[in-house]
Amino acid sequence: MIITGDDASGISEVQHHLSQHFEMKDLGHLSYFLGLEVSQSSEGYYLSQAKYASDLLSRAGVTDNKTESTPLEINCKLAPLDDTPLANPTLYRKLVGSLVYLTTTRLDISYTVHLVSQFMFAPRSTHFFAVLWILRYLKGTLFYGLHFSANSSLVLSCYFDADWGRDPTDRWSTAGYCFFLGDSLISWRSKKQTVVAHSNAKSKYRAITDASSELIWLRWLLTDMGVPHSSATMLHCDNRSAIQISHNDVFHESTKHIEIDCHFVRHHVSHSITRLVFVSPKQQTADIFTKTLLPGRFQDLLSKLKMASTIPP
Amino acid sequence: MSEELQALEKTHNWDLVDLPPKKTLVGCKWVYKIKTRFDGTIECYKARLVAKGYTQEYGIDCKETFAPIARLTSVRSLSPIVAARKWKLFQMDVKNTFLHGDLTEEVYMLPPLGYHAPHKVCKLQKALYGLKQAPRAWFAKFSSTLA
Repeated sequence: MIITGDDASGISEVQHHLSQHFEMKDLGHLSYFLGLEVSQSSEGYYLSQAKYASDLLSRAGVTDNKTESTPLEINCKLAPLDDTPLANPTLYRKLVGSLVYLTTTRLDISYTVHLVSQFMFAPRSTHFFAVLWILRYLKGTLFYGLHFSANSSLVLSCYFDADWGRDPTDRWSTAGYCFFLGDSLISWRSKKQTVVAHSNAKSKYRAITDASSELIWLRWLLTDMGVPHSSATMLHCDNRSAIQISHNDVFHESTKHIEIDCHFVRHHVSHSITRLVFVSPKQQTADIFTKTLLPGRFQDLLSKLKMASTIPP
Repeated sequence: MSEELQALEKTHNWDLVDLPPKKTLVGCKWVYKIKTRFDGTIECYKARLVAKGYTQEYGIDCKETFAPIARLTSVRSLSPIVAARKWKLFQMDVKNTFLHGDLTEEVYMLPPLGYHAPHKVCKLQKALYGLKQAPRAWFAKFSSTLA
């Protein structure tokens, strides 16, 4: 249980009230919580899972010193029928399950974990090699974590992207989004869409729908935490047609097959809850959630997403 | 183990009764665990009595089992606010959390090993770890205490 606030006497009152009703253990300042390590400095808070990651490596038996600079090979595509089936799929499932929990702070592996988790039912040796690649990448970046700056503003903004027809087997697109509160990254997702999109713009339009749903929830949550947002939240997208579709319902011919649920985007745009902004593909930070990248670009995006090593290199 | 039994006595978790006819029994067992600290040193040896919730059936000894939990996104959303406002974070833990929840359903359990009660069964008053409705019972208790 985490307690915080600006009223010190109020906090101790709550603590006292709880101790009267239940047998409580006061753990002082927050430092370790559900496998998350929290450290505080004058510049803000760091959130990392270094212990969880190193435990995972020792469980997986990765003992050599080989490391990788990205979580997956560039342009690596995994298919369900590659190579030979694994004799013991349980280990694969255990490792991938642990990796999923690791994405709580490690957004850098969320795209690759989303890839390997698609083969839990019948993993094959290429998939296992992909998992080993992720583990080798983790070995070199154990202390990476999220930084929440004390000098950041508290304005919400979002980047989202979709990679059209990314999956070679079923041609579904992969969508990703990330939300920032000021400079701090708070929410992200990498997810395969559940329908085949006709065009790039339509897969992105569907991605706006996902991002908008998360946005509405986040605005509620932040209002609850005392940070209300009255102005429209900026959603950054690198596709002009998707932005056009959301603003204008005249494009009937090209959008009549899009399900109604997607059009709730228009409602929120017209009610000034969201504002769609064009961003050049180079500035698109959500790229990291939809595709494999070259090491240079990958590092570039990580620094934009405020991922930093808790221990200075 | 005796600590756990004391905790159970203290919260008055069950009454010893004769099993009424047409009622089913839930089993239980002891689970032992070595708890380690953040740096890997041993914190304590723990014994926990758990009920075999997998034998429970919907409508007989459990009804609603849904309980809300915090999304990790909420924790991440709180962190930048705390950092920007220069607040402090405190952590607390409730001991034997689920034992506090009040049970609304009638649940009968076999007495645990090491508990001498011949020909009697435990009629549970409070939740036990492993029961399907334990998280829900705890949430109801906790929110009514805070309110």
